[in-house]
Amino acid sequence: MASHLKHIEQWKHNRAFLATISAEYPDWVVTAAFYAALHAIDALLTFDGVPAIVSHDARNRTLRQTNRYQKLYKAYEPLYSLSRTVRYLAEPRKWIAAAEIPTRVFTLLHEIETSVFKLTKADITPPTLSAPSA
Amino acid sequence: MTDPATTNGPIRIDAGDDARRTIVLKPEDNDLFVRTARQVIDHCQLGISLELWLKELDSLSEAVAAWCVTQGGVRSCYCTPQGARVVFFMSPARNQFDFDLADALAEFSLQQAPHFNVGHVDFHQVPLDELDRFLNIRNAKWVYGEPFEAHRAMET
Repeated sequence: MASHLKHIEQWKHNRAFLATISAEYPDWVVTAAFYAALHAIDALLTFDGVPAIVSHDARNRTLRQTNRYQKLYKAYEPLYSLSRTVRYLAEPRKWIAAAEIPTRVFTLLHEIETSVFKLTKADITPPTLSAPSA
Repeated sequence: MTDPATTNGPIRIDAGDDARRTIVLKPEDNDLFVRTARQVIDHCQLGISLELWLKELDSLSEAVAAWCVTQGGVRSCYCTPQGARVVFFMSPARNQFDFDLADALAEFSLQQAPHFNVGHVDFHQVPLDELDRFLNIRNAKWVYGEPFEAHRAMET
């Protein structure tokens, strides 16, 4: 089972990749944002001593059924749902408007990260993401 | 070595005394289930009654359909079992992922869906014209709004 710090490293890795993706690829922006969020959450779950989470279903269930994580779940669920759909669509740019990437997708990611770092008492300020360049 | 099943005796859960008590179940695959005693009892009862499960699914579907009416912004909704969960596929009215609808669905899945004993429930938004890429329409239950086939017929 990966440690809390390893998940933070992977969160940063996905975060750095996210910053490089052009607005031409909203499907991959969403996917990278989702996996950044996922590692931030797994950092929290390992910090809390939750046994290894082996599936999306198990992670979702844990977030949904634990009071401590419910605020986090409200931000994570829309990102999970969007990422599950958008990468399978033939026209992802129709499904997610470029204008909504910074205003909605990055906002959800930021909410998740802020909650995680608050709950883990980590002294990490998530870097601000600007709108992807076209 | 003595068998703990016989030395420790049964773990008793009493609906009257333990209904709100938290039960943590850890299966062999390291998954984790956190339930109240009431939910454990409900699961056992559902396990012996498929008829009851279908009744619960009907009630949940009716609740989702009523929610769609009051919420607005939903063009169509189907549900289907996928693996060990029930998934509701919502097609938003404007044929784009609707973040406000997603927020409301997250709230619904936290506050209302747990009242129905059908197990794990997920909600996903998908474009109506690509619905059949995400589920088998023939095996799905139409819950609300525009049926998929009617939509397809209009476009051709």
